[in-house]
Amino acid sequence: MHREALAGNPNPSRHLQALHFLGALARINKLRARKSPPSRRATALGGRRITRAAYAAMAVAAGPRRAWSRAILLGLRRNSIAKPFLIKKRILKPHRELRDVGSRAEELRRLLPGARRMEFGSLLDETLNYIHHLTAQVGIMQKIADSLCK
Amino acid sequence: MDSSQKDKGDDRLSYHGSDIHGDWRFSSPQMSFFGPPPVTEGDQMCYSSSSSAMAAPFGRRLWETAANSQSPVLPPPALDMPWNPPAAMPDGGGALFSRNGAGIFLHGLSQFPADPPFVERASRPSSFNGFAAGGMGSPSSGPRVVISGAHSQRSNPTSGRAPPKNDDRHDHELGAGGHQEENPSSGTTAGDPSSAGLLPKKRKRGNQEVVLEPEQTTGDAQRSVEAPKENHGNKMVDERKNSSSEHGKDSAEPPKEDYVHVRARRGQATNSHSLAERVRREKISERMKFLQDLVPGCSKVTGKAVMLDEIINYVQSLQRQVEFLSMKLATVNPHLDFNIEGLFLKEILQSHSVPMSSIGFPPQIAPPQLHPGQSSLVQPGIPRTGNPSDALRRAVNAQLAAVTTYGESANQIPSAWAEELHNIQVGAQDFHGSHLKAER
Repeated sequence: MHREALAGNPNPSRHLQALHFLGALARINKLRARKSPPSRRATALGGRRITRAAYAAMAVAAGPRRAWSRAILLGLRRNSIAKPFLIKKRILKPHRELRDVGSRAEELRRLLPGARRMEFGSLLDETLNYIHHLTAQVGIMQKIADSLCK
Repeated sequence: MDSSQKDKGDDRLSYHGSDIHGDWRFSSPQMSFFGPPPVTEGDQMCYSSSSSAMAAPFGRRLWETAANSQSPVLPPPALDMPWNPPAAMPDGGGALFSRNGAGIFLHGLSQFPADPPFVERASRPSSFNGFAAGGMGSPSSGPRVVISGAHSQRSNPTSGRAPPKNDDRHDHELGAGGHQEENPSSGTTAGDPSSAGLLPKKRKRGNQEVVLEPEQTTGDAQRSVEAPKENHGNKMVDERKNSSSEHGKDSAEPPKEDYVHVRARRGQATNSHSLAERVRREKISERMKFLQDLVPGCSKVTGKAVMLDEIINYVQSLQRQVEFLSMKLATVNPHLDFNIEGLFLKEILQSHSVPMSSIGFPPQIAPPQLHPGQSSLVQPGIPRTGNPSDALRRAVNAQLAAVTTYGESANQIPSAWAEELHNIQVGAQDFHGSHLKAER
């Protein structure tokens, strides 16, 4: 299953992810380049757009097989993603009481998009896949940021 | 009667082809498909949640009634064979239900990729995808282990049919039919009768497995609560099966089985439920091991709770990292040269040269799918300038199309998905565009 998560060939899916993300970035750039306001709010807005683009790239690379990717894409479609925006709230309230495995599983379900009523086994499966794609996305973004800041 | 039952079964199966998944899902909390043994043969399959009084004779009777005809007529191999909830099957359902259950069972099982730990314990792993896909909307790759013997193999000699993996259901049914036929004649002859004798147990266990699966889906607590209730009836069946199989009475031991065949280890409870729980626990522990490898710094952590804590922390930190990096990219973005994006592509896709070589950044490539959407979106808001960026975008899209065509995603991304992929891009653009208008 781990091999499944890696899809046996991590490169193609990562390349797909990178391509999608770069395409989205290019598009965002095009949208931004016209006005180019250096305000802080614009930065936050652009940042949110980029996070959405990042999650979209992840979801697209993961394919429709995963519940989290489907949830992300559906949320994107309806223009109402819960996941990226919930992150801030989660940061604000880091306090969580995890009594047992059940509550931790609940926490995981909250973290993963589209993993609400999933059983524990498949929850772990989704988490594996999600972490895999998340790390890929972080790597991509870090590379881009590094080459940009050079 | 049996033929009529079978016809009913077929009809029902075909009828329930589409919706039962949801039904199964909803009925899963009921969990106890095997209620008290029905007095009449197949007519009263009482799947009340009281359950648990199952005994092997019940199962036998089930099989006898259902499979007397030993008809090779099996339900269609539709993978979406419904899992008829007990409520939906008022009567005549004993055999039908078991067949359905077995069908669903087998269907799901056939798609299970092999997990090494399971392979150790099972002759052949298989998946429970039908269940998963239908009932829970979980990804089709979600493996579900089913503890059961392989009817198909056993029934093959009896029914004379070779079960391919995807026809597990048929084999299951056939096995049910076959061994039912032989049940009455269950004699002392070596191969078939013993296998036939075991088949009902297997079948029963399989069904119980099916029962257990929904149990598991509803959550640990519920499962743990429900499990003891249903353990009673299955005990004898499984014990008998396990004992007989362990004693080697089963001469027709199938070398390959279509779904995970978990054997009760020595000194362990042979209850089918406990077996299923054991399989589930092993599945979970295997996944925890994988997660341990993935999450850095968790090699020394033992125990699910702490491990889950680490996983949660890791996921949260990754999401925060994405957020932070996106903010960083947003500040840096104005400096993004259009040419640099091409450099990004080359740099990031260094290792994988196929898409690059295939596309080679032809500036005039216009991906047909994306262009209309993009043009519709981009043109109203932004005049098209900057040839390099356009070329880059087009190249990116072309590369994406190329990658999708021969990446591993090609297999999993049907055309509709690829279209949605583009729609998402368009949608994201929409999003950004609308935000742009809204905020400015």
